[in-house]
Parts: sequence; structure tokens; C-alpha cells
Amino acid sequence: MADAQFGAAGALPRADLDDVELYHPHSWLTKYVFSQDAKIIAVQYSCTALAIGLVALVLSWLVRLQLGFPGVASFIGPKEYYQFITMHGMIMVIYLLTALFLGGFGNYLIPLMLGARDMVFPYVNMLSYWIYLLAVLVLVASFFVPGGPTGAGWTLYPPQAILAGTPGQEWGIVLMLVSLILFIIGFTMGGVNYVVTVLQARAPGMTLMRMPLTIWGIFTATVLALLAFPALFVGAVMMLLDRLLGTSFFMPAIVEAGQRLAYGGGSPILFQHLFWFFGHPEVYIVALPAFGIVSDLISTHARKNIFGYRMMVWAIVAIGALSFVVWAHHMYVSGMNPYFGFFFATTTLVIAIPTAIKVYNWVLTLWRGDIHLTLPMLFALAFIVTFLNGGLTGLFLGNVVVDVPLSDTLFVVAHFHMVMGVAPILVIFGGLYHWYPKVTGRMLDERLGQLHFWATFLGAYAIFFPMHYLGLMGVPRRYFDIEGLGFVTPSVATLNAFISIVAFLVGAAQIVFLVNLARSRTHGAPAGGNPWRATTLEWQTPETPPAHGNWGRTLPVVYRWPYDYSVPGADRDFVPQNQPGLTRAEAGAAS
Amino acid sequence: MSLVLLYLAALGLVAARWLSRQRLASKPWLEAGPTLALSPRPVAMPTARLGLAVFLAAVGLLFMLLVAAYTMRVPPEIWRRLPDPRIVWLTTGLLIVASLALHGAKGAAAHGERDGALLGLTGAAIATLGFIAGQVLAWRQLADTASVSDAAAAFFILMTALHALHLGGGFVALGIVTARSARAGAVEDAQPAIGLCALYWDALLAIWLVLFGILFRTPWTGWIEALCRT
Amino acid sequence: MALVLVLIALGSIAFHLLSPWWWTPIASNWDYIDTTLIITFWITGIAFAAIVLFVAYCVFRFRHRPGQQAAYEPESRRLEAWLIGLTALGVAAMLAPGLIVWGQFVRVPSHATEIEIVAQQWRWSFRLPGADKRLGAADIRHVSDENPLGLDPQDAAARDDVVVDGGDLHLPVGHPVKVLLRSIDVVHNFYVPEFRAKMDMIPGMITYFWFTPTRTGAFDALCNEVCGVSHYAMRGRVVVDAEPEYRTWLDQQKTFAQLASGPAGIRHAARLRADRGR
Repeated sequence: MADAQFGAAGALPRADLDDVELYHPHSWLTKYVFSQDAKIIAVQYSCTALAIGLVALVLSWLVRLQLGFPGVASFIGPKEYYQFITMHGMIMVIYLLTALFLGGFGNYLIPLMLGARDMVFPYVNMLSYWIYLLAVLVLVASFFVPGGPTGAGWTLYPPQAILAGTPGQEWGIVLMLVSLILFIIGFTMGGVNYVVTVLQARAPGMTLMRMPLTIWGIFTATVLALLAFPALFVGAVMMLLDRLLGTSFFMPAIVEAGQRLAYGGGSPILFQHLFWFFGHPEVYIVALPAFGIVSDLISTHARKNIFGYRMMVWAIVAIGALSFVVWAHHMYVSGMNPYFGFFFATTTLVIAIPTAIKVYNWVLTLWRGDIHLTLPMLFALAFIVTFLNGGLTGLFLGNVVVDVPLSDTLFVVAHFHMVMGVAPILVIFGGLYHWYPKVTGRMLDERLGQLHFWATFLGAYAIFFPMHYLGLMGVPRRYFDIEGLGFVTPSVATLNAFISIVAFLVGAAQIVFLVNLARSRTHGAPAGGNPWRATTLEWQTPETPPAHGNWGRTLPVVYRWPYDYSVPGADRDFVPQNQPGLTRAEAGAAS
Repeated sequence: MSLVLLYLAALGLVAARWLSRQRLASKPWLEAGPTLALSPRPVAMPTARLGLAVFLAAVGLLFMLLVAAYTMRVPPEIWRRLPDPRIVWLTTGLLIVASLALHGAKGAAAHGERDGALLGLTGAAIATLGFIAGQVLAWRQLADTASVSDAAAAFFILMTALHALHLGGGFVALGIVTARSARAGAVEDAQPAIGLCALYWDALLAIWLVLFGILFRTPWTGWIEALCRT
Repeated sequence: MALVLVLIALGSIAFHLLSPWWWTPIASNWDYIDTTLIITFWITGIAFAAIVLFVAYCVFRFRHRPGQQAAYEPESRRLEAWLIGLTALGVAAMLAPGLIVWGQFVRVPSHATEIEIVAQQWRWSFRLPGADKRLGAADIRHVSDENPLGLDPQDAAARDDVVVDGGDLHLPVGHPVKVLLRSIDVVHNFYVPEFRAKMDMIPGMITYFWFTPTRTGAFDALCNEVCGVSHYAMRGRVVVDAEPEYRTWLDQQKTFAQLASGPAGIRHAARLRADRGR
């Protein structure tokens, strides 16, 4: 069968450069600023996300300063504290993780890994970035308006989010909601692009089952995002109307500080449903690309095919589908009908099964591999440990009755930082160390990278693992000050101080990383086209960094799946996806 | 939320049907070779149309969520107590006219009749403007009779405003398509773009009929109510 | 790396066993929750240690050496089926007790006494049924300085209700209570770590949970749903008494009718205003 298909291979490659010529950049401005090239847009997205992420990092320092050493920083009062935690959370979840995984990695990798020339709607893609940038600027502007940014917590629960008892009620919350609405509009433009590009623009021979898991993860996450963000959009628009026009979508009758407000009849729980209908898929919008990327990192650097590729694909699709029927596990103690708890606890724990399969398959890929402890591999291993830890504590919180004492304590904070903070960020770092040579043509510095890795991994684990036990004790989250709580033992203060000091060090290590990013751009060792000897298409481009249009005159033709590492009988320990010809083993299997 | 889950299930069915034809159970490591048997473009739909369809799927969900929010927020006893919707029946008619005109334009363009196509396009544009103007009139009527805390009225304004905004965006695209059809060498070249407009208007018409049914007393209101309440 | 992974696995277990930070001694009937939690700790702990140690072994045993080649092994249906089965078993072992205990959590015993906790920014008020053993009607329309809980002055059942505004909540040990939760402004959550149970209070709704206090003592209560700038300072106190002490305390409390009329009511209102001014 394979031989018959093989004969016609010569007829396949087509020269369809004309499409690309249409928007070929003609000036510096259209090449680097208003670029329609997905690779440039990816870099723009990544740099913007990292820049705003730096703000979130500083905010987390300030939060830890207050928690570890209460009262030391006189400029942090409760108002500032609530503003810091809110903005830290919002930036990390939406403006950094979502934007970096989909806007950054998605834009760069989807066309290159699939053998496309670019995204299918380059102009819309460019608009997507500029609207994202506008959303970020609106968000940043809220730091400078009277009253400062909103301090409602990143969940923005009404009624408090728009009432006077919450910081940033004047302008902060309005700008926050406007920024979210802009972000969603911009993201939808990008998201339609990613989905349709995956569906329509794959290179000849690139069947779905030959797509690298990175693409499967990003693709599924984008579909989730397109279906999840509308819920946040609806919630944000309705809350904006409640705040500005005095409608009562979410606002019941309220007596605030002795004054009866004009609101009446609204449902605060409705917002929570809308928020978590978005919020839970959002977890997987961040996690699925991380799953995909980490699969490719492990496979490449262990020189072994990913174990159970099919199961990995099915698991991604299953997790994506299930993620829409678990949202209310964030609301076990919200006062909703308690009988929902049975259903949502069951779906939540069922989702653990496909997720566990993914962990097993990563680990089994290492078994009998040829493990190169490169920086991307180190980060991938660290991801396995932290994700495993965070995933397992998720089983506590998903199991409705166990969640009751733990919800809204530091246990929750530690859990979601471990599973959707530390773990995906470690993958982002691994991915950046892995693909930086393709983006710039130069390697990142190894020694700085080692320093960055060990500080980040061990530090983050030392921050969040002990934090679970504080939550178990009952230490609540979002507390400016826990002074005076009878059940809190004095040793908690010691642990809090320890966590804060580690957090400062971990933060400092990120500065090392940024220096490395900037410095290696010009001083890094030249990488060559395929420094990791990887099989996927992005490493097979004629030029590095890839030129506009990616592939020169002819598109690549895909002959095999992306995980042909250490194939018995092959002359090298990897066979690129676009290399024709059968190895002996494959010839044996085909006959 | 049952309507939303139903909508998601329908999307899921479409996705599952498509995925089932992608040989997800194959063992790719045994299948080296260019696999010419599988077309590189497995979705039999032009790229732009597919892009629009994906976008509309998200827009559809947006409005389904609004409907779900309506059913959760507005007590059943004040459902459909909005003022006399005669003007809204008129605007609904206009939107149907716009949609039909676009289909006419699409057919005319396919046969190379430039005048027919332009007539359809301008007709659709005028009908759309009429629709939006009628909605504004309905808001003003409502503003006179309802207070700001009246949830049903607030939902009416929110839903129709978001719907009109989407239609307004389509209107800009319609203008560009009309200009291009007037200039294009052969009007057949503009046919796919007119087809996109027709698809967009069809979808917004369908969404409007659902919104109309939930906000006012229409013959199909009972159906929507049954779907929401299951 | 392998060594570090082993240290992480063993270190985490050691931390779990040796750390001084652990849950507060339980003071309610919800030791079932603790049991479920312990089951979950065992299952997840074993899974965590096993997988991390396995990774460590792989990294040590299969790290790159010159001339080494990785095995070629696309998948193993048998192994995957085993792992799925094992995981499903583990998940079921956690879910089943969880759902059983949740079943108890949502079904309130019929002889439980109803009490009410009302939250506002940033303080708690409590209401206990009077001689008629039931709580009267309340509505946010009636809320005023003199009537902070918004009890219905027309409702006879409300007039004998005991209102505790600004003091501690006392409960008799060993009697199940159904706690009705109301809020008059934003979302709050009433949480006493020793009782394990908690629930949000949503303005415009009445939510509930139930528990039985099992030992006497004073316990700190706190707001556990972010509710504005003084969220962290929204504390309260629940005192669980033996029956005689509880009676004594209850006899000193004022009913709604006593508070609403007479000098006590006026003093009360003045004190409330002073509280707000602070």
C-alpha cells in the first residue's frame, strides 16, 4: 500500500507563493510593526505577554512581602493588597498564559509545524495582536486612574466588584471589564485563524494523526477558548451595564452601609455560573498547549517516540470535551443547589482519568529512552513533577465534600498555582529554550539557563508544596492579615516568611532568564537549522530563522508521523517528517 | 443552561462526525508514505467560508448564553411582558427581506447578472438599515414604559444591541462587497463574497428569531421555552 | 536530576509526616470529611511517590551515554488498559466515600435547630428562634439601624426571635443545627475551621449547611469569600457551651420585640451607629 502511494510523490509539491506575495512586507514598518507574518506576530505576542508578566511578577513580590512580613511595607494597605492580588491573578491567567500559549506559541508553531506558509487570514491575525495590545494598555491604564485598579479578586464576583466597599470601584473595574471585552474580541480573531489554519492549511500528507501533539494541544485549546470566552464576554458586558447604567442583572436588593441601593432582583450566582463556564475550560486552555508542548519536548530529548500517541490524542480531545461539564466544581460552597454537587464531583474526577493517562505516557516515554538532560528536558521533567502534584491535589478539591473545608483556603491557592501556574510556566520556559534557536538562529546560554532552571523549579516547589498545609489548617486566602486568628499557630508566620524569601529568589531568577533572552539574541552560539535533531517540520525549514513564507519555493511533503526517533535500522536516530523512503522496520511492518 | 449544553452538544456532534472520518484510530507509525489518498484539504469548504462558520459558532454560543442568562435571571411570571411588539414584527420582516435579497444577489452573481446582484445587495443594505432603525424605535418605546431595573427590558436592550452591533459589522463588510461587485471585471468573482454575506445574514436572522421568541409572545415561543426548561 | 527527584519524593513525604502544620482539632460531627481526606491523601501520596520515583529511576538508568540508542515502542495496549483500570479504581475509591458523605451533608436531620447568620460588610449578626422554636420572616426592605437583620415587625413569629448583634454566637454542644445564611450586601462565607463545614451567603438568597458541635470551647469564625477591603477583618466567634451555660447565656439575650421597643432598642441603635462611624 505504502509503495503505491509513494509513486505519485513527485507530483505533489506546488508552488503557491502567489498567496504569500500578496502581503509581502515592503517596508520596515510593515515587516516588524504592522506585520502580517505569523512569526513576527508570535514574537510581538510573546514580548508583550512577558512584559505584562513582569508586572505580575512584581505584584506577587509585593503580595508576598505583606504576607511574609506583615506591616513591614507601610505602602501596602488592605486596599493595595486586594488590588495587587487581583491584578496579579488576572494578568497571569489571561494576559500572560492564554496570550503566550495561543498567541505566542500558536502563531509561531501552527504554520511551521504543519508546513503552511502562514495563517490563513494574515490581516485578521495582525488585528488580533493589536487589539490584544490595546487590551493590555487599558489594563495598565487602570493603575493610573483615580481609585486605582479593581481589587475585587480575579473572579470579579458581583455585587462586591462594583460596590463602594471594594477598591477600584470608580474606574478600575470599568477598565478591567473593557480590557477583558477587548481581549476576547482580539482573541476570537486569532482563534478563528488558528482553527481554520489547522483545518485547511496543512502540508500535503499531514493528516490529523501526523500532527505533533503540540498542534493537537493548541488546536483543542483554541476550540475551547472560542467556546468559553463568550461566557466571560456576556458576564463582562452585563456587569458593565450594572455598573454604568444601573441595570440589575447580577445585583439583588442591597443595603450597603445603611443605604438601600437602587438595585433589585439580580442574581449573583448567575455571574458565577457564567464566570466558571468560562473559567474552567480556561484551565485547559492553558493546560492543553502545555500538555502538547511537553510531549514533544520529552520525545525529542529522550530520542524516543511519544508512548501511546493515539491515546494521547484521544485524551486531549476527551479532556477538551469534558472540560465543559465540570465548571460548577468551583461553586460547591457557593449556595447553588447542593444536589448539583453529585454530578459535578463525578465529572470532575472522571476527567482525572484521561489526564492520568497523559502523565503515564510521558513517564513511559522516558522508560528505555536515551535521555539528554538538556534545558528543555529538565523543564519537561520539572513539569511532570509539579503537574502531578497539582493534579493530585485537584482530586481533593474536585471531590465535593473534601472541598468544603478546603475551598478558599491557601490549599486552593497552592493547588492552582502548582497546576496552572508553575507547571505551564515551566513548559513555557522549556518551549522557549527549545524553540529560541529556531526563532533567532542562536542558542540560549546554558549556564544561565541551568541557574534559572534550578532556582525556578526547586524554588517554586518550596513555595507551593508547604502552602497546602497552611490551607489544611484553615488559613484563608485573600487575607491581608491573619493576625489574631486563634487556630493559626505561631509557626505559620515562620513558614510564611520562608515562602516569601523563596518567592523573592525565584522572582530574581526570572530576571536572569530575561537577561539571557536579550543577551543570547546577539551573543548566543549559532544554532544551525536543527540543533536538537528533531523530526518535526519547523526544524526542516530551508532558512533559520525561517524567511517570510517559511518554505522557499515548494511546500514540504509529509511522509511520516512526527515521532520517528531511534527507528531500528534507520541511519540516524531521527527521521524528519518530510524525509521520503522507508526504513527497514517500516518496510517490514508494511509488508 | 440546558439550551447552552444542547447547543454545545450539537457542535460536538458536528465535530465528532468530522473527527470520525479522520482515521483517529489509525496507527500512524505504521503508515510511512505521502498518503495521497487523503486530500490535504479534508474540510470540503472554502477557507473563508469555514472561517466565517467557526466565527458564527462562537457568536451563536454568545447569544445562547444570553438566553440562558435570561431564563435564570428573569422570573417566569414576567416573561414576555414587554410592550406591544408590532414594530418588532416589522423589523423581523425586514431582516428576512435582507436575507432573501442576499440570496437573490448570490444567485444573480452566479449567473453573471451584475445588475441583479447589485440590486440584491443594495436591497439587503436598505432592509438592514431599516431593521436597525426599527430596533432603535422599539428601544425608545420601551425606555418610555420600563424602568432601568426591569430585567426583561434590560435584557431586550442588551440582546438587541449586541445583535445590532454584529449586524453593523456585517453591514461594513456588505458595503465593501457591494463596491467590489460594482468594480469587479466579472461579477462571478464576487459571488463567494456575496455568499459569505448571505451566510452571515442567515445566521443573524436565526439568532434574532430565537431572541424574538424568548423576549416576546411568538408562535414559536413555546418551543424555546420548552428547550430552556428541560 | 535523578537524585533531586528522589529527594523531592522522599522530602514531600517527610514534610507531610513531620510538619507541624496540620488541620485544627475537629469540633463537629464532620469527622467523615477528615476520613475522606485521609483516604485521598493515601491514594494520591502513593501515586505521587511512585511516579516521581519511577521518573527518577528512568533519568538515572536511561540517561544519555555515548552509543546508547532508545528503544522503539509506539504503544502497548495491555499496559495502557492496566493503567486506566488502576486509575479508575483509585478514582472510584476516592469518589465513592466522597459522594456518600456529601449525601449526609445535603440531608439535614429533621430535628436540627434552625439558626440564622446574617452577614454584612464587615460584621456578623445572629438570630436564634424564640419560644415558638421557629424563625420569623425577614426581608431586606425592613433593614434599618434599629432592625439590622430586617425582621418583619408584622410577623408574630419574628417578635420572639433572639437577636445577637455584635456579640458571640453560642451553641449547645451535641445538638444538630441547621445554619441559615443571609447577606444584605455582598457575597460572604461563614467559616469555622474546627467545624469543617461552610457555605457562601448570597444576597437575595437563603443558603444553609448543618453540623453538630461535638466539643465545648470558643472558636474563631471568619469570612471566607472576598467581600471588599476589610474582608480580612471580618471575624466572629462561636462559643459551644454545655447545656446549663448555654441556658444562662440565652436568658440574657434580648428578643427582637425587646430590642425594637424601649430604651434598650434606642441604646442599641446608638451603639450600631457608633460602630459604623469607627
